[in-house]
Amino acid sequence: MKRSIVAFASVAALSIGCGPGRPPNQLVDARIAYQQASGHPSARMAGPDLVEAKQSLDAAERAYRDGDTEKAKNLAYVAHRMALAAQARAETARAGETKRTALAEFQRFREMQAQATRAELERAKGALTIAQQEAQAQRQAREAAEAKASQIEGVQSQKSERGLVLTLLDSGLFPPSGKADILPSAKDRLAEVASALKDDTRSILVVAHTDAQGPQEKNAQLTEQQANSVRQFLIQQGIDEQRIRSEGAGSSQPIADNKTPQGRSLNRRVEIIVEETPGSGAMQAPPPAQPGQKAKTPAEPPKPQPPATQPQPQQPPPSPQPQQPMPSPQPQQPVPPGEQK
Amino acid sequence: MKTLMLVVAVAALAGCGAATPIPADRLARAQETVTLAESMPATTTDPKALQHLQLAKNQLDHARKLMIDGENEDAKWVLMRAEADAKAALYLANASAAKTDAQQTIESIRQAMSTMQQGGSGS
Repeated sequence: MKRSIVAFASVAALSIGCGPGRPPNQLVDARIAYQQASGHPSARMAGPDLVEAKQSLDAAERAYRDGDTEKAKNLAYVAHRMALAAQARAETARAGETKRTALAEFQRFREMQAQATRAELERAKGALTIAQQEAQAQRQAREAAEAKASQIEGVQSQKSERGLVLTLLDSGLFPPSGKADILPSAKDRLAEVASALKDDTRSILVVAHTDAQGPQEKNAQLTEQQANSVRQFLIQQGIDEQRIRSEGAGSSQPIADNKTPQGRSLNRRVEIIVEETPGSGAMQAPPPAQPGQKAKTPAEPPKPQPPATQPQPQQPPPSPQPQQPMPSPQPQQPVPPGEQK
Repeated sequence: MKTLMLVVAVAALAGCGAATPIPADRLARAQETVTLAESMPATTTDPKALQHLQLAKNQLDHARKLMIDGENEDAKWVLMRAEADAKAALYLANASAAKTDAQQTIESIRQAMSTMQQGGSGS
C-alpha cells in the first residue's frame, strides 16, 4: 500500500514537471480579450484585426504547449493587444453605424416634416382661395344690395360711418294715430328693401324716430314698437333674424326743425342701417345708449322724466298725406334743447 | 531621421557577428504606429488609450537600449509588444472619438427635432 502511494506521487510529480503548468497570466488575458472581441456585435467590422489577434493567440498557445513560456508570454501579450484593438475597431464601426442610423432617421423626420408643411401650406392656400372667393362674393352682394336699395322709390340711401343708412319717412309708413302697424301701402317699399338686403351678410339695425310732440316716454315706446314692426316685416320677407335688431330713438335725434310741420314730418322716420361689420346682429352687443335715446332693452325700468320747462299743447297728429317724392333729409345738426319742445 | 541614425549605428555594431539581425523594420513600424497614435487628440483624453500609448513608448525606449546592447532577439519581442500597444492605443482613441462624435450627433438631432416639433405645434 505504502509502495503504491509513493509510485502514484512519483508519476504525478513527473507528469507535472514535464507538461505545461498553470498558463501565464498574459495567455489567460489574451484568451478572454479575444473571446470578448469576437463576440462583439460588430465583430465582422474588425475582421483583419481579429484574424491577427487569433494568429497571435494560436502562436502563443503553441509556444505554451511546447513549453516555451517566454515566447508564449510575448505572443499572448501581442494577442491581447490585438484583441483590444479589434474590439475598439468594432466599437468604432458600431458608433459610425449608430450615427448613420440617427442621421437617416433625422432625414426621414425632416422629409415628413417638410411633407406635412407642404400639405398644410396647400390647405392654407385652399382656405385662402375660398376666403377670397367668399369675400368677393360678399363684396359683390354688398354692392348689389346698395345699388338696388338706392333705386327704391321713397327710400333715401346714404353712406355714413355707421354704414349704409336707408331712410324711410313716416309719411305713409305708419297710421297717423300713433300706432306701429305698417300700412299696406308701405309694405311694397319695405319688401323692396328686404329684397335688396337679403343676400347681404351685414348686420342691420332698424331705428325708428319721431318728432318732439307728445311725452318723451310715449314717443320712445312708440318708436320701439315701430322699429320692431319693421324688423318683423323684414324677417318675414326673408332677412335672417340673427342679422337684424331694432331700437326706438324717440324724438332724441331730430334731423329737422320740430317747430314746423315740414320739419316734424322729416323727423318722423325709420332708418335701416346696414352696418359695416358683417355677421350676426343678434350676437353683437347693442351700442351704448345716447343721452335721451332709449335703446330696446325690455329689462330697463322707466326713468322719471323731468317736467318740461315749456309745456307744449298736444297737437293733433298729422293727417295722412299722399306719398310724395321725399325731400333730401337735412344734415343732422345738434338741436338746442329749447328748440326741441 | 533619429530612428534611421540609430538603426545605422546599431547595424554597425551588430554586424560583427550577432546571431539575430537588427529588427529595423519592427523598430520603424513601432515608431510609426506610436507617432500615429500620438497624433490622435482622443489619445490624451481616453485613459485606456493613454495607458497603452505610454506602454508603447516605454517599450520602444527599452528596445532601443537592447539594440544598442546587441540584444536583438529580446529587442525584437519588445518591439512587437510596443507596436501592439501603440496599435491598441490608436484604435482605442479612434473608438473614443467615434463614440463622442455619435453621441454629439444624436444630441444635436434630438435638439433639432425638438425645436422642429415645437415650431410645428406652435403654428
